[in-house]
Amino acid sequence: MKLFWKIFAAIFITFIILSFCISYGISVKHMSQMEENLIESNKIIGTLISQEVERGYLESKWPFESLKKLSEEKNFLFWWIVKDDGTIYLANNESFMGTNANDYLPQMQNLVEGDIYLNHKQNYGIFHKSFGNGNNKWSVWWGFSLQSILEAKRNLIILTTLLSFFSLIVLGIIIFFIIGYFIKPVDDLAKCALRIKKGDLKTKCEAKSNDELGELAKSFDEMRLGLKDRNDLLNSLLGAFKGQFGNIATILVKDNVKVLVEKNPRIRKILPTSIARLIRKEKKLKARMVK
Amino acid sequence: MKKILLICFVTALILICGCQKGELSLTPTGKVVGNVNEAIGTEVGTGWSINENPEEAAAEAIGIALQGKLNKNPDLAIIFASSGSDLDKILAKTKDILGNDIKVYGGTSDSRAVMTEKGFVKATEKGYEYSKMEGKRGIAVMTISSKDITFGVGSSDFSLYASVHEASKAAVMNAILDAGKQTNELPDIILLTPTIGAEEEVVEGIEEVVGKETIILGGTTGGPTQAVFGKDRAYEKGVSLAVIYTDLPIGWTFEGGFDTRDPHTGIVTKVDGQNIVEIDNKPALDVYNEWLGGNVNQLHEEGKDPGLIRDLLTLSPIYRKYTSSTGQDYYLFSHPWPKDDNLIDRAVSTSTKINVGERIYLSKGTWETLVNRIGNLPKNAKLKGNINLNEKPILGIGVICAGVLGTIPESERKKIPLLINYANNDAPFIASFTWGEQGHFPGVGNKHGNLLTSFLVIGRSKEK
Repeated sequence: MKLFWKIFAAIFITFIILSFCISYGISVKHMSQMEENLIESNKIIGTLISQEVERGYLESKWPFESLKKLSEEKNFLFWWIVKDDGTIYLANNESFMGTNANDYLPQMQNLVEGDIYLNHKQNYGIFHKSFGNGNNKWSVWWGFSLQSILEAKRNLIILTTLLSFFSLIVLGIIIFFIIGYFIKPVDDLAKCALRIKKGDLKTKCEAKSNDELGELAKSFDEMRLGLKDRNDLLNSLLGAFKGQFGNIATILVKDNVKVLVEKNPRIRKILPTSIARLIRKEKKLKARMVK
Repeated sequence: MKKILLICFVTALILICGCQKGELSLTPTGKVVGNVNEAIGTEVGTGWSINENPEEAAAEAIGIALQGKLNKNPDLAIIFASSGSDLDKILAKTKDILGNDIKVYGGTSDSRAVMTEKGFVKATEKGYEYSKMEGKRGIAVMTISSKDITFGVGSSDFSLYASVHEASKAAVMNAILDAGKQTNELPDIILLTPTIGAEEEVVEGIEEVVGKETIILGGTTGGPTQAVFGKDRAYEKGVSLAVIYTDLPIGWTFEGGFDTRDPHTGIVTKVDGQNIVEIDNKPALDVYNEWLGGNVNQLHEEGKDPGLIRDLLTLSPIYRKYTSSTGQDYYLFSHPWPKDDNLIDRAVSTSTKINVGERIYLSKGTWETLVNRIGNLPKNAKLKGNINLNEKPILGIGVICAGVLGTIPESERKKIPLLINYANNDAPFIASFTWGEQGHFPGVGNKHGNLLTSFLVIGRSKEK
């Protein structure tokens, strides 16, 4: 993997993790706030309704209009007016009237007065408030759905996912260019090195930035120039082996070159043909003499 | 890179799917209805059907009513069938099942429903003329066999008599004779079902025989097409009545349920049949509109459904005041509606006869008050009859104005029988939805009005 993609991936993954953590934190806070608001508003409505029901109970005039309005609330599930023995006296759905409330929701028997029972698994909440005197305690039960919280949660997740997705695309493009900008001198340097490797010592290694990479490129170019100078000098010297006194020069440097070749066989590749041939001949001669 | 995007996508999908949780689902277990067997000597049963075939409907309803009964040949069958039902066929089938001697009393209820303690028997969605298209039917039957109660039924077809007055006299006399009594033996109570349009004459005719202090409780047949049960056939214009003689305690109530504190009042200065043409010498609808703060005209100008104007007027009815010799005031309500849906004719129709010179008052009500009133009918009836509120009566017979029913939201109507059952200790009852109501004002006499309700209970104990 190239350096560019390594940096890119590192930044990108970091951003994904960060955005996920931030989104999750915001969502959790938002949801708990929503739930608190829902519970609070349901408590207020439930208290008001139970007061009306209690008044109706005392006056034998049930607040059907208010209860019907309650039935039309967005998160409404049911309302029951329950007698002291648990029998549902009145209900939004008349099919429940005359049946026992505890058969449906036995867990409500342990609920604290005026409190709200929440069941996140089945997505509902129940407000429960008693009224009446002594043993003749009736109660108002009001069930409401938590579906709206879930819907909001789902919408929030969809929204943050979409936003993250698009921002990741935008970020990817930005990171691509930024990393590209910073990586370019290194890339240029690598290309330059490749050119030198191939023997091109003429093209200058450009250094546009003034930072460490600029300095590196500058030093590299100086190194190229050094190599070029040495190469030029060597070439001029090697030119002498092809000239008028080539054979004499060859004979003079042969021993030195031979020592060099023995130490570093790669030198053989750049040896002038005359010296190389001479060394080869001598090597063969030696071999015959040994035989 | 692809892997990263895939992981992000899958994570988001899991999170979204994770929100799809279950919901609370409650299924009613079914009410455990108490034993509805009657006191020794009396057996009362109720049944119902929504079968559109009149004969099958009658058979089904009677079958339910007689379930578990020792006596399969009751003395009396009270039958209310929703408007549009074929009463001739229902009567024939009833006689077929219960024998030719069965005494049948009743007629049509409003097209929308009938009711027993077993529930609200819904027939059509809409009332009035709109119901004719639906073709749905409902029937309720109450069968009574009793050693402690004597019944007699009478009926008459108005077309066979010189006047409605005469027809009504004949019907009540026949009923008294049918009960095996002499015409000078006054019944404890008279149940009345006249067809629409001549209720005042019917009441006057009956009163001529039994006097003003004999209690009449009744309801005009419900429409739009109306009929009553005669002896051998149904009458489209006639009266069906039943007389009751008993030593058992009788409790009854006849009441409105509207707030009578509104200050608006006027004198009727011109009428045309049952239409009020002018109040205080001004077009009746103009006066009504003024009383209601211009709401009638406003609804019309906004192009609202004429039904809404009807509903508005139903909950703001007019009433007349009657004072007994003891100084007790009674309020007789009349159901008003615009004579002309386009409000060009500014008369206000009612289904009561209001005379020129009578003072009318405006009242106000809400459907909530009316539902509560209906729910408390048995309680009020018991109180009047000195019947213990915790006692389960032998039976109950109710009359509820169809106009009142119309104001009650559809979703709340099914609660009505359950509320009555609470107050009536699950005793069997039958009720029809009527287009006019007749009842008794002690010290005044029997009157015909609208938007009223009545309920009769017969207690068990002979100690009054």
